[in-house]
Amino acid sequence: MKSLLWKTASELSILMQNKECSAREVIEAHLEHARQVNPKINALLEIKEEEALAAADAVDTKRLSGEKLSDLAGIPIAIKDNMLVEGWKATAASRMLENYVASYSATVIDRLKSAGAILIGRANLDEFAMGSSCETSHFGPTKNPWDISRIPGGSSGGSAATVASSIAPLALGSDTGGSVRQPASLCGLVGLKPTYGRVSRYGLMSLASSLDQIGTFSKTVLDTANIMKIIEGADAKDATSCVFDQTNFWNGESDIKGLRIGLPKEFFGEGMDQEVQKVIAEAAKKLESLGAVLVDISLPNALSAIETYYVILPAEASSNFARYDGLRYGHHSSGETLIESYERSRGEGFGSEVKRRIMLGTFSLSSGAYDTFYGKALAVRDAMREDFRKAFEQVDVIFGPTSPSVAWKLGAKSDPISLYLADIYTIPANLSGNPAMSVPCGFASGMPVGFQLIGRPFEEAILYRVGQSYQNDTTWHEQNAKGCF
Amino acid sequence: MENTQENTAHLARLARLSLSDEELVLYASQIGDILTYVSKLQEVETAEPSKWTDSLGNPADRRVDEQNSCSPEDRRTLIDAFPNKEGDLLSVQAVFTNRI
Repeated sequence: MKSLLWKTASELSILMQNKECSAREVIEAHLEHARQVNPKINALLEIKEEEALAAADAVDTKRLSGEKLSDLAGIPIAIKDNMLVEGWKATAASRMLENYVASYSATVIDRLKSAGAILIGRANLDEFAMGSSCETSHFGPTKNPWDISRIPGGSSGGSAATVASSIAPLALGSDTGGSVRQPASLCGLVGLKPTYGRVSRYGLMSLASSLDQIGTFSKTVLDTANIMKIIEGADAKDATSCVFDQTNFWNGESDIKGLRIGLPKEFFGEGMDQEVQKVIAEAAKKLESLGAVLVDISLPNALSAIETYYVILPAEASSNFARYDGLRYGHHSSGETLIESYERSRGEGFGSEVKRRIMLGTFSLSSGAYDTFYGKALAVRDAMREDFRKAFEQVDVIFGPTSPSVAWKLGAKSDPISLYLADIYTIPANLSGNPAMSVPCGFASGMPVGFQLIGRPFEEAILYRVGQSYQNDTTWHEQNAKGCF
Repeated sequence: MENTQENTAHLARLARLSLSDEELVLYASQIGDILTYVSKLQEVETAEPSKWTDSLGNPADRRVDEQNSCSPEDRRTLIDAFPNKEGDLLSVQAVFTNRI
């Protein structure tokens, strides 16, 4: 039998449906591969071998009995370690939750398990999803499978490295300011941040509740659409999850003739690496050659995205993180008084980026700073949504780079602001709530580059259509990372 | 925007974070730099921010605030997960320290 590695989820599913291999064989092959590769890249914090094999056997039994199974049945998937799986540790890559065990499962986990997907392990991340490089993890950085001297992006760097190294063909991440799309771009993968409310956040550790969305990693647009069919949909346990138009699903269409694609001038200005700019320009030309009409547009307030985000996110995080006090949740260190116990527990439990953002949020919500910082950021966020609304009167989808650069060397960026700028093109879609997807489109300095598509709320189908058209005509997504072998 | 170590220590107290002397020096400088950066927002012309909207800018749909009790099994799991307890009572330090 040919190797079961480096295949997409759809390819593996067809092999299993045709009885050319069993789910157990698929899982054994990926676990064996993980044992060899993971020590080199630190993508998974824990590999759940026994559980995965037992779940695979259950899928095989069902298949043998003739039960109709989903496209995800028997497919290995990694879970970012800020989502709860009942009985599993859920650490958020923080000392604060080093020994925390989840007492219930996230809605996405329940839906994946019901579909027969095989959860193979917990993926590394920047501590509490705060970071763009996966270097702030308490358990050490993840390395990019294309070049292990470089970062994989973040915060969902472990999820991205898992898929890029073929430890699993699918992974879940969370995207608050680009934490799925940026690592997807830097690791040569398709990464989707769905519309805010399309996927339930129940069981996802809150970072900034008005921005957080669970997203997906895969090598192809088809795999992305298939996993989304399983995890999306309203959930009574998350009041912000939405009922959306059930007719707006992707039917596999990939014809983009006449489709109007907007290129915001703000996404093509200073700050982007020149080689990356060239690759992105070639991808735009390819879409034009496939029949799309390119239209120059403007999103004027996108230029203020970083400033807006770094007021709103810390404000929401400082409030959400009050729960980690060493009593209700997390690392405990005793002091003379209750307040001293809180201070010691949080001081010892949190890493430096988390403390920095909590203090920033405490400042912007404080009396005297609230209107000047937080109130102003909310007003700019409104203006940004209005920019998108107007842009979508002219075009069907928006196109631009995902990241201003390729993956940088581990340790190369240490000051916070230079790291924050890595998310300059991804943050606007979090602030507006629109869906956005990164698609691999070439290489610069030998490292992967991705373009970003942004759609109207709940119109993920157009992103799939454009992405599928591009992948039908290119082979970038078929390239495999060999830096860790 | 200037940010002093005294201001940073005050923020840390409000945020219930103990900081080492080295952290205090580092954060005072970094938070000052970040606040200078985000202060560029003041140059953006905007209207009053909308109130009670969801993350897509639509009017927020406020659900009924009702109490849902948990099952005895869930209650047991939660109590068992708490580090310090006496029977079913959760043990924490005294909240008030100035009582006789």
